[in-house]
Amino acid sequence: MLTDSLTILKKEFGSYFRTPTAYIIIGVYLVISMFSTFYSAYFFMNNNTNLISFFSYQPEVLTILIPALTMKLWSDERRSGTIEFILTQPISYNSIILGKFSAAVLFGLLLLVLTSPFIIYVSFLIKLDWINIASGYIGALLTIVVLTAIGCLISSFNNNAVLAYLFSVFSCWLLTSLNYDFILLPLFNLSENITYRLSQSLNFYHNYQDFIQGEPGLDNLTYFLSLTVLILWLNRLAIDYKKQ
Amino acid sequence: MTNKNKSFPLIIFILLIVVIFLSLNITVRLLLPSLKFDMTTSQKYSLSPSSQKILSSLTSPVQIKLYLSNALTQENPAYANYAQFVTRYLRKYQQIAGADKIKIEIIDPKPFSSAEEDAKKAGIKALSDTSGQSNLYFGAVISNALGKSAVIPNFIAARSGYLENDISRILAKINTGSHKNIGLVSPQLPLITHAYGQSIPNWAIVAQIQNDYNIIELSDRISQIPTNIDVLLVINITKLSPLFAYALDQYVLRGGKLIIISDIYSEKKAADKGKLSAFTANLNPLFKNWGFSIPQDKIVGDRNLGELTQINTSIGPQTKNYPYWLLLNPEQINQDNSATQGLNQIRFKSSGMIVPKDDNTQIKFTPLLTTTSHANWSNSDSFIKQDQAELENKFKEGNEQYILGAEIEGKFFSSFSKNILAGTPSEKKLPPYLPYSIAPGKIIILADSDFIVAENWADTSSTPNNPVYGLAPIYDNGSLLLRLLDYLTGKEDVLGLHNSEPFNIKTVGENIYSQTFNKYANAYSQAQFELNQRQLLAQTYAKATQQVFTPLTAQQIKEVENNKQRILELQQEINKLAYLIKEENIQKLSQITDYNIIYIPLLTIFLILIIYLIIQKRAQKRIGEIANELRSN
Repeated sequence: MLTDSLTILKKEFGSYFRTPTAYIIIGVYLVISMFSTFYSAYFFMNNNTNLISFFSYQPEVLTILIPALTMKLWSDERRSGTIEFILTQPISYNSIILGKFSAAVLFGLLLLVLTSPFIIYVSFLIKLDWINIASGYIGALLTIVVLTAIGCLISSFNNNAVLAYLFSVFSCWLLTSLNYDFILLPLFNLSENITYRLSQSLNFYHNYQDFIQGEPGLDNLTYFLSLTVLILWLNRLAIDYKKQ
Repeated sequence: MTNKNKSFPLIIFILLIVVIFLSLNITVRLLLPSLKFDMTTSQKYSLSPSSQKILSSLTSPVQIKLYLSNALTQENPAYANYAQFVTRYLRKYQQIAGADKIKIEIIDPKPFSSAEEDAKKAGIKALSDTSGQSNLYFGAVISNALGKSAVIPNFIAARSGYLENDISRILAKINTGSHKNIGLVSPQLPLITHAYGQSIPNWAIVAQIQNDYNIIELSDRISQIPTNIDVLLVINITKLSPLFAYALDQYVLRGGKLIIISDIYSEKKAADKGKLSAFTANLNPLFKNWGFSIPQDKIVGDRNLGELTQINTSIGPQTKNYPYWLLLNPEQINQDNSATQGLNQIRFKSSGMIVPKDDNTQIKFTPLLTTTSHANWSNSDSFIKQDQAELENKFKEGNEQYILGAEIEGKFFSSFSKNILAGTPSEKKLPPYLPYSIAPGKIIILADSDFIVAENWADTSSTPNNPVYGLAPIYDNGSLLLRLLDYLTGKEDVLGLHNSEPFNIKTVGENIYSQTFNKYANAYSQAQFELNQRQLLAQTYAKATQQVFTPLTAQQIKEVENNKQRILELQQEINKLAYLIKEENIQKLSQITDYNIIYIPLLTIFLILIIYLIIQKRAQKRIGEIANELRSN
């Protein structure tokens, strides 16, 4: 299974670079990330020992860009009809899903790696808290993992890559930017503490903030990983459903 | 089976998985909330054992009302970050103590709401928004079920390293309730003087002490230290009266706890009242029985600890290492003593030295603050006759280590042979004379008093409305005195609390500005120095023409005119320098922005493209080779 996934990963990852897509995504990511760091997150005014200005807008930036990586993963196969061919190959569905998903995550990781010149540059300007920054990067990577899973799932429903992109952006936005605390409001009168913890455990913002503020925990890891597994499993169901 | 029948179990299955996902997350959050990793270099989210001890000893539930205006965090990113940090920190306390012990309520006091009224009544101070309106709040009221409470009028980001210290101290204070009494004898420094109803910011240390202790001001002419005094703090006595010497002697022999700050040369006093007033009383007659002495003519200097400061020389202000202003590092601070453990940097100015007596075996002498082993001393008289530039110039590195602060513990002999009031009607008013200690006494001696002057260790710009929690320490001077008091009063629970962050964390913008300013600092200070001199000269001319009615000579008029002209030129020069600094600063900031938004992304894409093309070319070459091999076969 792992070898099959690796083969698909190599194929999909390489395919990003065969078209200008990869270069455009890298360029747009770096420009938007830096723009949000310097202009929206007041880089010069904030205490940036943990690069809070950089990390605080990453979910929004990735919400726009990760769907661009995932939009074609399944929709192109569906549009060109190659999905039937792939699904009849002696490879497990899980290997295919994992391979495609890993390729997009790897590209996301590459995006993060490419921000290292910025970090090195800043290290000459102020003293950085490298451990806190490492925590921020882990948070950003986990965000990429979840958003990629969402992108893969949406792409598996659509024949049209543009529609897949738009739906993915919308879904990622729903996850990263909406506050669902209002759902928990009725519980507030029962127990303030439990309601607070529920709100913390199911809210993307709180889970991500724990990483960038340098205080991640098992709860945050559980949130990101279980959400990813759940979405990837739904992806698998969608593929099964399509085959039937 | 119909499609509908097929979908039904699938939907149930999906719902089941979603429920498992929710349950898993909620369970982990509720059951394992403490499984957090502190991924910060300074371990800022890890509460010290002292705080944990305070939390475990809480006797009644505590309620923390955090007044935080949403508008404040939306308007000001620096506040937003700090507010998040404070909230996170308070939750940490709650997490460790338990939700039943600490209840946190976050309130947004909207303008003209009842919450705003409550905040004002509780003592939370309003902050101004961008339009200048004062209706934003960021403070806390911490109270317990016994009705004891404390208020932090505003949280200020510059005090972030002291957040744990502040919260834990408040919790300890409201938990124990009673305040210990500190007797304060400070005739020379107006420590408790208030001006127009406001405490003088320079003596912010008083507010810090008063927050935890009752200060009882005592005269330096009393013959007995009141029995309700837990620790006596004596700061720079100008004249040691025999009565007060007797009072101190007997207080120590009765097991009293004493902090003496005895400065050979008080820079604060020299600046306020002239150099001749900078000296203090000779307390050596008392000190000799306590096992040490302070030479009255020696002021310690150490080039290795010397502060870089601007000194006015004959050619204008220059930045020099001034060896008499000492920045003591952890190596110079006793890290094994619980009173000074964890203190990072202490600033002393023109300190004396403490010399222990070797012959006394009954006394335990522990150095708390020292110089490096390359220190030297200068005669105190030279501080009157010479200016800073001369003193700096004449200083020679030595090979001695001097003690600047020490703890003395043990049983002592009296410096007096009998009751000082023996044979007078007042004799019976005093407790019986003791020739020898009946209980071990504890004395802490510090050979500098300037270290308590706030301008030497803290930013007091936010203190007028917020004397305790608005003080932003730059050095640990305030903590030193507070910790010594905690140590002597036996407040072991708060002793382990210390600043968790390095002082003076600057933003990138501040760093860039400092760099730009430093480039022009010499030119700027020289112009400012000359301008001050010229303005003084202009004032002298003006006074002279007002007082002497004889008309000025042509030569004098020319000089006045030249001076005026030069003042104008200097003002223009200063304005020009300020403009240059501003422009260069803006240019540097936009350069950094451009590099990161335009050039680095472009270069990165270019490099990736090149790497990809090289890989492609190699792959094509390899394919070509394989194809050739196949063809030849």
